[in-house]
Amino acid sequence: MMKKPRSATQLVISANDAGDGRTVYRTADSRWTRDIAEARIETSQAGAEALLAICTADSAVRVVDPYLVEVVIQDGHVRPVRYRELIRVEGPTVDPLTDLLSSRDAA
Amino acid sequence: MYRYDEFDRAFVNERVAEFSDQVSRRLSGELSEDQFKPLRLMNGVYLQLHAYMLRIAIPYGTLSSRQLRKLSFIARTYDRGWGHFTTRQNLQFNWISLKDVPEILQHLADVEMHAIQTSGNCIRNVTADHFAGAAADEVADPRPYAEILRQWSSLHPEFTFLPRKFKLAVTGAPNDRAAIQVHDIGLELKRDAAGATGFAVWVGGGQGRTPMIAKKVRDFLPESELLAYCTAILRVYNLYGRRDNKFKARIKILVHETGIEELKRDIEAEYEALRAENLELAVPAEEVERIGRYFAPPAFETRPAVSTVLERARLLDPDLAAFVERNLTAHKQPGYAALTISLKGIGLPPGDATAEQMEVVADLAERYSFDEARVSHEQNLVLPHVRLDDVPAVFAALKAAGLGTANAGLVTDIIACPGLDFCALANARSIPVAQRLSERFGSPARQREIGDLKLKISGCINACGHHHVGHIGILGVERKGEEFYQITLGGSADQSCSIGEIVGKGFSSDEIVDAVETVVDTYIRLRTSPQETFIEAFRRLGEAPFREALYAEAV
Repeated sequence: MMKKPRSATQLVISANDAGDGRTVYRTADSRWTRDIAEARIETSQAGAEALLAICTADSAVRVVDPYLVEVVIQDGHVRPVRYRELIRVEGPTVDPLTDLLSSRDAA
Repeated sequence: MYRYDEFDRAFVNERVAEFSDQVSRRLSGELSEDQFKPLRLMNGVYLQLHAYMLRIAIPYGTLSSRQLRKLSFIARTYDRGWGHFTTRQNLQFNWISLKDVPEILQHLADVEMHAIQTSGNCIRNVTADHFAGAAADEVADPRPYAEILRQWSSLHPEFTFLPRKFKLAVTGAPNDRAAIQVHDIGLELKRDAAGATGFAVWVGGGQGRTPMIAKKVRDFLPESELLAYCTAILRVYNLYGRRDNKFKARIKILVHETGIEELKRDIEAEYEALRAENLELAVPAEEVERIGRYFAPPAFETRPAVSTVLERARLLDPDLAAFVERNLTAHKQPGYAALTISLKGIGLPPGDATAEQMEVVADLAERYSFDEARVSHEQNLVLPHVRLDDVPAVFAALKAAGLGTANAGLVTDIIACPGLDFCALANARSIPVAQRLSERFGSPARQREIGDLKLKISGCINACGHHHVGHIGILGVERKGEEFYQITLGGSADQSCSIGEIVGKGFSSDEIVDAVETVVDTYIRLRTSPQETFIEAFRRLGEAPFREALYAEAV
């Protein structure tokens, strides 16, 4: 499990989709989305924890292990503070071998 | 190769049916994640950063062409067209959907494979020397014993819920290529003065956050006593191993806290009690022979030790010459070689292979290596039995598939775990660091100048990238949200096993490649001759000159 953010004021809830394991975020209208831009942002720890409790009920079916993720808004974009979470948003920083080999073939 | 009998087939098929039902109950919501997690882990399904990951067992790293083609099919059909070979001779697919897992497991069962016991606190996939049955220095083929251990440990009712995971490795040669001294049980196959087969038995090795070298508990255990003795070790561990703290639950901690002499007495006492109550644990010679027949040497031709075809070809082709120099290993059969296929192309992610590359290797194995391929714990593939005359053709095919890198055992033959790009446990990225190091040292001349050097990278303290036993080890850590990398020096996984020493404070991601180059340059400057390898020089010099070179500016 992830550590709790210490005293963050902007938090979103993330989890993995139970079906395909992909990273998802809780939206304001109680959906789960792959797009962090659609995530509901809580500005108080208490509010975030209350929402987390609601989301945890979802883990019975739709998602796995929801938890709080600290974010900042930068240039209008929601961006996680921790590098790990940034990688979850953006995907691996490594190009897949298939792409690397294709680009070498093309060069 | 071993072929499933009716028992193997039945239990694998039963497990596929059982887990398929569990998956559908999870997807329907009948099972919660808390209920499902231990079930999926028992079947090799992890949940990583971006998706489910399926870890497939490749017993003692041995694969037929048919099996490798099936892995290629799975990569292409259910994943993103590639897979990752691991330091435990397994294969991981990183982008699996849960709904596809039952189908994948059925495909695996069709070619006598599965993902059982690739996770959980049980006995994991038994690993072995990747040159088993081929290496010139081999006393005997370790795979029959690895297979006996596999059968014994598969769904073993007493050892399914151990305090922690448990790993066995077997080597059949005095030159240890299976890293047996950093396993929970390490077995070295040997012969006594009368020529009888037995094992030196090592217990309590491991890496992770508390690296330890195993202690030898038997210098020669007769072959027939293998299972009974392993049972005694596991029973003692199951009884006394800690269950209150997962970080102290491995047998290495029990060995450390109890002391090897006392633990040895416990094991021997348990062994005697076992023998008294149940002699059926003895492995009958005829059973060893029966299993051994599956691993009988292939129909080698009688050939000259030197191939004029190969010698002529390497004179004409410098790339082939470099490949022969680094990627061929002496074979017990004259006129043959074991051929390492590097999955460490310069600048590429270590251990990854595309579906197409797997197919190429499967075709080559079928045509040139008696239908057999191997996975090494160093994250490469091996064609174990290639006629020297055929090496030019095999090399040409490998090169065309992007698999002709001539770097086995060199600085760019880097072990790296998936790291923070994929792994839920990681603190820092491993693969991009490996790629940058590979690019930095990628010139053939530079690699040749450096010589034998094992560079290993882990993205967290769990040490899947074996950094503790790298001549140069790199451990990724997170500090205040930034990735930092600690360097360890002097580790080794072979018969002269040693744990690397942390040389000083960590380096940022921007600094780490230069830091490794400083270590390498210091070695080159201080070695007595190019014949003195990095590890030999380090053992002579100690860490002081390396530390001084690394931190001189900071002092």
